[in-house]
Amino acid sequence: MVDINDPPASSDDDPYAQYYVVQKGDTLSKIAEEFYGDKMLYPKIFEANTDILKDPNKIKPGQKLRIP
Amino acid sequence: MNRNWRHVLPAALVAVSLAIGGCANREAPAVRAVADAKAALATFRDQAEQFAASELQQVDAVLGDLEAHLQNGDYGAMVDAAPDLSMQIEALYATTVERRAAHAQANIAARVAWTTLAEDVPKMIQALQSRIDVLAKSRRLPADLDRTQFDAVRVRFEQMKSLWLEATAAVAAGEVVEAVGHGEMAATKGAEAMSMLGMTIDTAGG
Repeated sequence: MVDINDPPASSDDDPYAQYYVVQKGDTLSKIAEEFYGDKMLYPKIFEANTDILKDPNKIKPGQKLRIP
Repeated sequence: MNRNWRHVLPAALVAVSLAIGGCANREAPAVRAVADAKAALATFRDQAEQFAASELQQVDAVLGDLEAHLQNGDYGAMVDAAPDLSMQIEALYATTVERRAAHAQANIAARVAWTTLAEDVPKMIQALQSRIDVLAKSRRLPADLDRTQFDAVRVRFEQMKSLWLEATAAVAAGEVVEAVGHGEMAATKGAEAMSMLGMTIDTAGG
């Protein structure tokens, strides 16, 4: 039986994944405050995007970030 | 399902009528007619129980009456009841076959629907679980979400997970139509929860 806690086999083509495209002037803290109401939760966004982010303080406009 | 009874039963019942009308020994053909009716029913009784239970009950009642007439030696009443029984068995058979075919068709459609649900709902659960876990750690909620709304989201999410568990249990038991019903309700609850959280669903698929 499928365990509902199991992640899907692949995250490709996932219509339920949430994304945000970085705008000029954005920071991870600002994005965290927008989505979570708490800027201190920015590490959650960073951890979800380590494939494209190496430093939480360096994001660029146009980057498509996954928002957990 | 064995179709041979279709030829056996009417002949036996006609034999009852003829025997009762003209022969001295009226019991033997009457006994045979009841036995043939029972044999005919036995060839598809299990299917009838599954797909036409109430109709089967009616046929069994008529057969029971016929047996009672036989035991009482009331062959005249048997002649009256026999054609009705024959028609009812034929109708029961037709109903059983028709409903079994409809059930098979519904199962095919349900399997297609289940394939989509089995792919989508776990992804939806994962997206919601992820967002709810983060929001649960938030000291303040986003501007468009208050505590009451967030609690309502969590209730819907728990309902969604329960429905999905029921769906996966049903499909494991081979009840695909039931599984799709639960799965669709789970997806609806999930979509409601996502909407309340301001989460979007990419219907374009990418």
